[in-house]
Formats: sequence, structure tokens, C-alpha cells
Amino acid sequence: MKSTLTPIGVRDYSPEETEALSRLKQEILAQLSSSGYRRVLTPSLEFYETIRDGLGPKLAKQCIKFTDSHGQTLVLRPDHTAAIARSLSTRYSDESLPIRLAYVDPVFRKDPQRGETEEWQAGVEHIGDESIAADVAVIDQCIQCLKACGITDFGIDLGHTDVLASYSEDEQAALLDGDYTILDNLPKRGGIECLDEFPALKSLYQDIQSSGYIDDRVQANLGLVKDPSYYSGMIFDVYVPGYGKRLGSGGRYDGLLSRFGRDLPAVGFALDLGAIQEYLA
Amino acid sequence: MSPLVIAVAKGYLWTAYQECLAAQGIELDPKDTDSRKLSVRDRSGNFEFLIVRSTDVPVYVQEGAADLGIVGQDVLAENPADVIDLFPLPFAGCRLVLAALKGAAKTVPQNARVATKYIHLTQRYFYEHNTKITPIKLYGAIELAPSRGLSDYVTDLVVTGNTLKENGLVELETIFTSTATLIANPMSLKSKYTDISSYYTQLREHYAS
Repeated sequence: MKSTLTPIGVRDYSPEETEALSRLKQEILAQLSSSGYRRVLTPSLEFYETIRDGLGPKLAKQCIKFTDSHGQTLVLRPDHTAAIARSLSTRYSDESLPIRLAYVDPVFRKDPQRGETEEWQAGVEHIGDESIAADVAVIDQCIQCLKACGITDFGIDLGHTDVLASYSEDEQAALLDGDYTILDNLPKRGGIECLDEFPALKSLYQDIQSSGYIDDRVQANLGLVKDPSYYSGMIFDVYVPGYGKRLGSGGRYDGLLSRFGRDLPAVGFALDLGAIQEYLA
Repeated sequence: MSPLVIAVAKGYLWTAYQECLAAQGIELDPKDTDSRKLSVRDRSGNFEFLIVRSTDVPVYVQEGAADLGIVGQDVLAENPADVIDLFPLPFAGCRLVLAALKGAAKTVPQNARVATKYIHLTQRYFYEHNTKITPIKLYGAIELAPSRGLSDYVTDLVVTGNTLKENGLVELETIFTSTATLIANPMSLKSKYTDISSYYTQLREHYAS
């Protein structure tokens, strides 16, 4: 008999699983919409030549590529932020800033172990506001979305691209590769006391503290690093104790939109709905 | 409080690591370690050890089934995983070497057949040397391959190199030098930071003295 299985990295959803996923999507969209974020759709197909400018080197390698009928290389949408940044080059020119957009759709990537994958993500793009207040608002929005999903024991680790930049070139490459053996100590994690050398992260952390609605679940982490060719300021990761996978992540990427011809600062986050669903199950 | 879960490669690495644990005052019940139990808690209950195949250690840690792992650097390099490599441990030292029968060319010719358990590391090495080889994946008794005409060269893990010599093979080059290393799940490094940080410091201080 012919195989009736799907590729490993994708899956069917039963009516019950579909219902559970839909409920998550609705809760998140209701939360985002109440805060002024409007949902957008981008196509599942993009030109590789175009979208590649909005991807870091790691994500560019993870693209699922194929050739269209004219010989051009297409990719299945590898990233929402890059696709929305691309769409900004031809739209929203008359809108007042900040532009608040939301998405709830899958991304398609090659995973070294699981092959070609489809992963549902929900997230926001907060465009045209470079203030710390925008950083805080986006982290708060992420927290509200987690709560809307019924997750209360989450933690958020907060970092900044300044921290990675303070290391030597060799150390930066090692840290991005998950190699801490080059360091003499484990990078610090904790509260305001760790942050004297990093004024930008310190003032962000202070603002988060004084905003009151974010409690001690937010910790500063000097070991948190993300691709510096993409991120340009605040970065964060979402986790829950006892579950080994990341539930989401976010950060600021002020240089990204200019690669598509709109020089606007931007900050956002994406939640991994598959991980959230697995955790809640 | 939930214990720190540490996946450890079974065999000589687990044996060597038990000496390290004993020296640090982390006590195991001999009844447990002598048995075939796959998971063992220390007396304090602060640590739980999962004794698994070496190649499975990065998988346990990446997936969060263990917070930490103790595994050979060779295994980690051969099976890349989304984990944090924290600290090299000075035991379970070994080398991945290139070897051949006496009289074989020292420079590996294009399209040579190379038998190995370590396909990834071997291919990376030859790629860096601009040599295209035909790898032959074997799971054991690599030393036998050249004399039986199965391959022209081998890459194999050695501690002393005696097994290679006994099988008439000559070491040509060291491809990779390895010891054990401590790895962590990136999310555990957040949610259990305090516990992991204090164990990390304890290990560093142990090996510094």
C-alpha cells in the first residue's frame, strides 16, 4: 500500500485539536485587537530574492525553496516580520505612527532534525516608535496574550544587543552558537544589580519595574543573545518552568524596515502556538 | 523543589563522572549504581541522573527531558543540537584520527573511500581540506575495513591508539580532540538558573583546584 503519512515536520489537526488551536488564536486576536493591533495576512509564497533581505543568515538557510514557472526562486513564508516589513514598502504610507499590526498564521522552515516544518505563530509588529515605552508596551502585550491563553506561570528573560556587542568577536560568534565554554563565568541573570554596565537595558528594566503591571517574572539575562544582523536593541524570550521549549520571543529591529525602503523603527514578538498547545495539553 | 535532571552518557563517561560526583560530595547509593537502573537520584534528592546512550544525551537535553547533560564533545559535534555548551570537563579524553594501512598515501586522494562512525565530522574535515571522499558509515569494528578492502582510510575514535596498531593501521592525522562537556537546555538555564549556576560554579571550582 502507498504511504498515507504526511512529512514529519507537518501535521493534521483533529476537530478537537483544531478547536483548541482556534480558541488560542481567538483569545490572542481578541486581546491584540482590544489594544489596537489590526490583523494582516501575507501570502504563503514570496520571492526569495526579495524576502531574504529581511532574514538573518540562520533563517535564510532555513527557507523552503522551489522554482516557479519562470525559473524564479520562491520560498514558503519563512517569517512574518520579514513579510510584513516587505509589505510596508508599498502600503501604509499615509497612516499615522505607530502602525500596530498583528498576525496569526504559520511559518515554513527547514529544521535540521524534523525536515520541512509548518509552525503556527501569533505576534505583533509595532512600527514607527523607537521609545522605551514602545518596548515596554510590546512586552506587556506579549504577557497579556500569554494570560489570554491561560498561561500564568510564564517567565520572561530580558536582554539587549548591547550585551553581545560588549564581547570580543570570537566570543560573540561562540555565544551565538550556544558555546559558553569560551567564558570564565556563566553570564549573570537577575535584577537591576546586573545591569550597571548596560545603561540602555538598565533603563528599560527600570521602566518595566515601575510600570507595575510586570512583576518579578521578568528577569534580566546577560546570556540572552540573538542575531545582531537582525536585532538592534531590546530582546526577550518567553518560557515556562518544567517545559524545555521556548514559548515565544521578541525584540527590536530598527534596521529591518529600511532594507525594504521604509526607514522606520520596529519592535515585536511572536508566540509559538504549537509549543503553547503542547504545554497546555 | 524539583531536582536538576542530568543526562549522562553510559559507559566509561558515567564511570568517570561518578568519581567527579564523589569528590564533590554528591552521594549515590551503590545499590543504584551497581544495578541496571536507568535513572538514579543522589542522597540529597537535589540531582537525578539519567543514564542513556551517548548519542541520546543531546536529544534529552534539547527536548528538555533533562536540564543538563554530560557527553563527549565528539558526540555533540557529530550530532548538533540546540543546547548550550557550558563547560569542558577534563575526563573521557579521546581523539578522532585519520588512519590507513601502512604504505597508504599520507595525502588522501580524491574519491577515496573512508570508513567511519563519525560521518559528519569526517565530511567536514575533508570539505575543509578540499578533498571529496566517499564516506562509508559503519557502527563498529572500523579498524577492520581497510584490510578487507572495504575502505582506503578510516577515521576512528582512539584513546591510546593501540587498537589501530594491533590491526596494522597507522595514524596519519588528528581530526578532532575531545573531552567530556557539560551542556544545558536553553530554557532550563532560565527557569533553573540559580541551581544550574551553583552547580556550574561547584564544577569549575572542583577542577580549578
